[in-house]
Amino acid sequence: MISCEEAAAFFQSYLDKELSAREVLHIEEHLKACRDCAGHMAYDRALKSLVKNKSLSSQLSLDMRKLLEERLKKA
Amino acid sequence: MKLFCPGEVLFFLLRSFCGRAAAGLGLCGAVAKSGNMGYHACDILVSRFREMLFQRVDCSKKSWIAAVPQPGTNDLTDEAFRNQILEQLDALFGFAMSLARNRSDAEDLVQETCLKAWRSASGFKAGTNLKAWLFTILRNTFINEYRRRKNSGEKVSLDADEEFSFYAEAYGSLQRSEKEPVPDVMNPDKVEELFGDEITKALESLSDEFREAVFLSDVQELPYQEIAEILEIPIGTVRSRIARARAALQKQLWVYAHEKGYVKGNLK
Repeated sequence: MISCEEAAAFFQSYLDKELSAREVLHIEEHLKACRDCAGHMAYDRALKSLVKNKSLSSQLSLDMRKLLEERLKKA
Repeated sequence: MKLFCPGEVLFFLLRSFCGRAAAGLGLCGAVAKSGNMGYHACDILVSRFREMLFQRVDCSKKSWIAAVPQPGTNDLTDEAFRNQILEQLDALFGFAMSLARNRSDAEDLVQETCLKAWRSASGFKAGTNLKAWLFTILRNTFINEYRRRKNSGEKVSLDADEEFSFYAEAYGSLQRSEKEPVPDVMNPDKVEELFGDEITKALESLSDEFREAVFLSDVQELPYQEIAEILEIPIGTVRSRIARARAALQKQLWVYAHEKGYVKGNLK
């Protein structure tokens, strides 16, 4: 099994789904066996979700959406 | 070369699709060159065949995937293309907000992007990623027309090799004092409650190139390769920017948590 240091080097790529199937297996094997790394991963995932939720909280207004539809039709 | 898919299966598939031994042999060769697993070989076979069929009807190699009708030929395709642009409004607005950081500029940016996209529709290659194409237009518009006049103010500077993990710091400080109970600040379920407002401030404090990388990865969940194409930087730079931006965000949260007394560790 890979060490905590080796696993930590892959945390970001794992969260971003940038690992190969083989690398995912190595990381998930480690996460199942290591409570500390699993906690770390869960925390980083929560922060990633927080960035997403906060960034999506501001939406384009309905008025602006309608205006854009009209402008594209006339363009 | 390992090819576990039995020849009979390949031949059956080929005959079912094209009924011609010659085409079958040609495709077998293609499969044999690129395949190293049974199912993989079959996938390659099917996709090669699809390509072949679509090339016959004069489409580009990838045009069978999410082909987008081009405007200008008739009202229906105009409408389809317009609708596809409009479907991306939320994503465009999110990206515009992450760059411009105020609603007024973001709305203008989205509007300009949509109009530019519509006018330069012929520049969009059918079968390629419409969202990525729109993001590129939006970003270029921002760089050329907004960033110049914007006072960017104080931004978090990131050292080239900066690494910082909130969890690791909190865990380290915990080990030095007491291990139990685990504080709320290390509980993923408490992150929004404790840092919901602070993360927005932290994001705004990042410089544009780091904020846009984080937005495209965390919010749009785009693969690094697509981010690299939109930002016109190497994929390694994408990886590095995202890592450094996250480190900077977590460092700011650490400072905040320290001020609030959520953590007892060193303030680095």
